[in-house]
Amino acid sequence: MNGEAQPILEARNLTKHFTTGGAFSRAVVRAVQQANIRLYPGRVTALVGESGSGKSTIIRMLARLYKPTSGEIIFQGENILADTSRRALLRYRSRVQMIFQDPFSSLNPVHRVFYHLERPLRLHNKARTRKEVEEQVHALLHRVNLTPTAEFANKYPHQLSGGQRQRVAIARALAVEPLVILADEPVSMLDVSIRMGVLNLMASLRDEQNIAFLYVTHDIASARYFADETMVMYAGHIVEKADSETLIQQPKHPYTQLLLSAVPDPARGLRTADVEIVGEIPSLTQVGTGCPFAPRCRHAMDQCHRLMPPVTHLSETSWTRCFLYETAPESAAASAR
Amino acid sequence: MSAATQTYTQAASAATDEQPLLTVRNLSVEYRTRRGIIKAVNDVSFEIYPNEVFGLAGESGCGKSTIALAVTRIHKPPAYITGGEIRFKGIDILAMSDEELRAFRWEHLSIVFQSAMNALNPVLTIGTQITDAIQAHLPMTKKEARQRGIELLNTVGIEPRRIDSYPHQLSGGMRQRAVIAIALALNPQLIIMDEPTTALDVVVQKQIIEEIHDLRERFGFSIMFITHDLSLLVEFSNRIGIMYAGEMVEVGPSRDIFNRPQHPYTERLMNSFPTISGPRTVLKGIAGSPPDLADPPTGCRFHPRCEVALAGICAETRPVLQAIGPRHLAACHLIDSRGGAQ
Repeated sequence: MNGEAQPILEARNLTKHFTTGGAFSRAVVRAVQQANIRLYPGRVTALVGESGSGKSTIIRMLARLYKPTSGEIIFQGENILADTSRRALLRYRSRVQMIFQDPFSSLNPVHRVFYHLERPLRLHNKARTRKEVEEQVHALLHRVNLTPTAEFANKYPHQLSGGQRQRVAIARALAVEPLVILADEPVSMLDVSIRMGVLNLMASLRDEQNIAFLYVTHDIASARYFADETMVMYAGHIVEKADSETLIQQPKHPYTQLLLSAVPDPARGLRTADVEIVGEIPSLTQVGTGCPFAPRCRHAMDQCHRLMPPVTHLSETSWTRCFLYETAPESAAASAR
Repeated sequence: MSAATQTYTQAASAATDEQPLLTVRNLSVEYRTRRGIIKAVNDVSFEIYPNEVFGLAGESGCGKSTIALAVTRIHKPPAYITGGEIRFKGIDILAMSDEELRAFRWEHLSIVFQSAMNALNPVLTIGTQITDAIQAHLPMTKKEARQRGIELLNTVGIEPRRIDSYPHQLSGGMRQRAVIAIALALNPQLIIMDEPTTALDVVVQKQIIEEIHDLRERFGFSIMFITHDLSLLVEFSNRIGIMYAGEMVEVGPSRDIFNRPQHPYTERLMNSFPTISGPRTVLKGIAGSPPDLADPPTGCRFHPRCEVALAGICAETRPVLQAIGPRHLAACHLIDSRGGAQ
């Protein structure tokens, strides 16, 4: 399926380095290195990683909040980084919307819900007359299940629960009729009982409105639930990609294996991790040329410390960056492409 | 006292002959705020036995952290304990003088909080903070206390040379280990852990949880474990208490709570989070939001969100915890109508 469909949004070798410190303590933080991502209409792609792995930097580059150090962002076949005009940015944002983690700070406390939805409608010329605006605001609130809509339109953010605020944020993103939604930890600050409602709402937007989602999360169990495919990130590199279920049942990269063995699983009860946990995540100012996971990896070979492994395709839809799989027979055809 | 207490005490004592370490009986705590009185904890009873992990679960604002503060009496105004008893091996914690309380904390009961950065003093080395805690309670010389400090750090997997490090020089996981080392310093029988791994990444969390598990096997202390992460809670706890809107709605062995929840809230909560194994099913969560505790619902506090609430009962009468199995209690009118557990 992926072979035929065109990605709507694609990151090619996307890289971001931040410089920190002063004149004498300058350091380069290699936040994201050579990331390749393809988002398809009607599909959810999850990007999973621990804090500092670079997943938020990627989503911010895709939302054009950060300028990439190098690499390309292709939207509907066009490199959008070429045109930095405000008009081009506005056009991009009318197609690609972002939802943030914290619904408590992403809404302006002095404005009612109505205002938050009216603004994008007017800014992107989705509604002109007062009547049109009202109709669309109510339709949006209805779409995210905030009913009675008239009541919710009149509320201030502080009168809403966390889950309701996140629904307003989703409604605001929907106002411009986006093709892509970039969701950065959209449910991690919500209470357990309301998380599923928000994820289910986003899943219905994928299914009914064919929206492409990038779902950034630290919770791999929620990726299994919500995402069609999952990518795992470690210390600035995307190290593995596969269908969510395949990735969780048959993790290939040693880091993915470590991550999954550390996730609590109530069905199986407490047990010692299958994979021995050693070391900690490296500082991104001191990463060498090798695989960033090599210092912690029990399979590490000489070359792992010197070279970053290339992408090895394991199937049509899955790949990993690990020398352990480089000679796998399935990869021969894929890498020849 | 009330019929509720009798039912509860009978049920609890029938289930076990063991003497509990901590007994909390009909505890109520309220916050007196400008908005009015918030009944954060309402008539809550439970006990913690020797050598067990008792997990306390519930959503934010359900009162679980307030209980942790009340049990150690480190709650501050506007929080007030308005009723009930807290006993540690029969000794009334609420009747202790400040001096008795100081000796009691750390020696018998210690606390580990979520944010290790805030629990540690940033301008003192880890070593100073451990030796201070030891010397405050035990007649040890500085040198002896330091030696004990090194042993403790070693116990929690920190290299001895780190004893002279300042908190900011340690990683988040390492700081949390140091806090656990301090909590262990005086060999307490009960450690309250309030979201001890919440600020940490899942791989580091696993390391810390395994460390705590090993320490518990070695030293045999009990843990009151508070977390919003239900997967972790079920995995790590022996027994679990489920709280909703300031009240305990179900208590039982964690396997039973996970596999055979009896209270509708527990049942929905256990179907609210995805896991990495088992079938992929549609999870619904729970419609609505937890109530405002300044004006809680009458009767069962969960009834406005409950899909199986009984007309004429649930909105009027508050259900009490009653036994439905070995060490398994739930507070729900449906249990009466069902005639107990299946």
